[in-house]
Amino acid sequence: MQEQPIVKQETLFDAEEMVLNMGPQHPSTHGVLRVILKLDGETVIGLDCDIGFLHRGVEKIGEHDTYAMITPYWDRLDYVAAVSNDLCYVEGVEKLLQVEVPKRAEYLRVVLTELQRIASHLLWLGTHAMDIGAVTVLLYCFREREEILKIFEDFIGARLTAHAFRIGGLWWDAYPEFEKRVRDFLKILPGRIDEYETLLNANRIWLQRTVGIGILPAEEAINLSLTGPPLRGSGVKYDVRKAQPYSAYSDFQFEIPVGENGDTYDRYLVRMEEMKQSALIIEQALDGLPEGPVMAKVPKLIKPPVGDVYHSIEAPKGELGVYMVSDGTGKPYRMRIRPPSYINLQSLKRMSIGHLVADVVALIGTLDIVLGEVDR
Amino acid sequence: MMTDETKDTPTDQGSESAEEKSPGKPSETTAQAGPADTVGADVPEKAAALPPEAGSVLPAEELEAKVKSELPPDEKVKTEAKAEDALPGVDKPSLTPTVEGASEKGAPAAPTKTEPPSHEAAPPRAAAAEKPAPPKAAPAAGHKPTPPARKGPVITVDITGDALIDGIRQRFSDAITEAVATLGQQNIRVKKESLIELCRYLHDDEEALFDMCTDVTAVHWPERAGQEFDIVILLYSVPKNRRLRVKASLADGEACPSLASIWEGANWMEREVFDMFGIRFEGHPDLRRILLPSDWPGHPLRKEYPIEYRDNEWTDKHLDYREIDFDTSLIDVKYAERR
Repeated sequence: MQEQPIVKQETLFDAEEMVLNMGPQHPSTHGVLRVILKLDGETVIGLDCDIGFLHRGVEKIGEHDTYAMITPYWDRLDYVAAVSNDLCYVEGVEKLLQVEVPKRAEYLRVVLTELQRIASHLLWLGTHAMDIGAVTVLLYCFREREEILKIFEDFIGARLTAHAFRIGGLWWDAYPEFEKRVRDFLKILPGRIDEYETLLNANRIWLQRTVGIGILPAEEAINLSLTGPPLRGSGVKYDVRKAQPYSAYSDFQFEIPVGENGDTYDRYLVRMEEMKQSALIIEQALDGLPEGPVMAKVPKLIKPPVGDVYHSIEAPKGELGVYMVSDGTGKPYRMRIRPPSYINLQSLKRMSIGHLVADVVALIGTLDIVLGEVDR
Repeated sequence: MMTDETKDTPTDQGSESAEEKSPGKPSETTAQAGPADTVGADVPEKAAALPPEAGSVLPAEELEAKVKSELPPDEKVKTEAKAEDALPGVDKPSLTPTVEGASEKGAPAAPTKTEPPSHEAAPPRAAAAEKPAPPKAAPAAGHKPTPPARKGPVITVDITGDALIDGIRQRFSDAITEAVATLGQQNIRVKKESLIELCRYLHDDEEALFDMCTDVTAVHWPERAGQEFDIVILLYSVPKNRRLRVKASLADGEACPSLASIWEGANWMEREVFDMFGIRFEGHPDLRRILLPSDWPGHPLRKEYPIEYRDNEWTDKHLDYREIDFDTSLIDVKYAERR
């Protein structure tokens, strides 16, 4: 049990510092996150995160299960964007095995991953806006997210933690109406994103709550190992899809949105633009979808050669990576998950100091953390 | 695996895998008859009293014999007890963590893939000489012999002709014990004493400019006496778009210099390594447990920490566990009274 420092005081009004517990049970912490705030009135002068409430020991399990058995655990890390997590691990193993995934499977993987990126950003937008006060946006976003989850359910079999990818490709090919349904969704998406932008982009309250909050200059952001939209909001054009392309991303043309000031508003704009770019990628992938098998010939028992490999992808939250050490047997020797939410959460302290308590809520939302990934 | 082994009491688990570290604690709790102990402890007696059709608490051998007698003769019975159905890469499914070649007694049984201890480039070639390529050796699973075009098992080669690595080698000469590339990913192994100097060089130098620390983690090799831990640092250079892995070996109990002064992002990464492995980082501004509670005993990602380990002491102390009497006969009486 953590001991809270006791503030000796004559009366309540003489105290200059107050320690406030934003406990694990809190509607705005997006999961079981405990933030201990040291406040001077309403201004934050110190912050500490107490995490580990959702620690499930996935890295330990990763040493005791076979390579194929571990894949579903990766869904449960960032359970909001489950499909893209699978991609990271599965590609890491394929890298070690030096298996070439068929082109059709790669394109379908891109389609599913980008759909998942849109779904993750929609959930981020809904909850972030709701925390700040724009409650309408939540259900609007969930309406679109529902469409994507229905597409997932019909393709993969599950909505949320769908074990979508297998080592070597996909388990099933796309069902006949898949392409039509995705294209129909892409037709309505731009109009809906415009709706959200109409509600928020020039909204005076939104601007006052997000502009200038949590400014992080580019060098500090890099030094804090920030990745993903928080880093790009600070002006650093680093996206793993372009820097170290994986899967079929080098076949597609898309832009990387970058912010200027590194505040919450810029991070919001970056994610909105990413949704639009994802829609472009999906269209290109569907236009160029080749025929062929969806599964490579992979042995039933996967025993990669001895060695270690690091593979990372651009997950909706940041750079999700796997560092795998193989000792030649059917189980990994060490499976390290490089969690973007965990590492991004470090910068919360740096960003919050000097701001008000209500801004802490906005900053937790702008970092877009998912506690499943923070704690693993 | 859970169904057959849940009747093992926590004390059995603890004493089986008891090392001198924390997993020895469960043997202490048997002395105190805490409420958590009685939950598991009296199941075996009940197993004898229940008729076999109750099903859930049959011992593994009886269950297997029962199932076998009911199945048609050509059906293979798949239970955890049969070693030949286990995965070809693993000797037997066991609950204690198995490390290739390492046993509880500490003597490596067969030539391990990781010998000689400090060198990672040599073992793949040694392993290739000993056995046929592992990816092709999976006949037991009924796999058809059409393997994809794959290179052999040796995927680690020495780095030659790279300007950055040559520069590092020139400057640090014998502190760099190894510079290899695994599947194109460069990694260099450095002695612990030169680690912080090398990292500063990698951060500041014009040719290197590794301004982002992607990850800091550790790997535990218990059979490498004197160099049990590998600290692995993954670096990335944003301007040069280049990755590098730096490894340093530590003995058990030895501390590692902290990189949090160079890359601030390494702060929480090192805290997690401390939490999971017990490796201390000198110079870290705030070294304490991060994912586990601050008074948790032991470091879980060490290889000797068992994966199925039920902690009673910490939970008894911190969780408000109350024994509730689910006596069914009493509920029936009350129901009858209400009617």
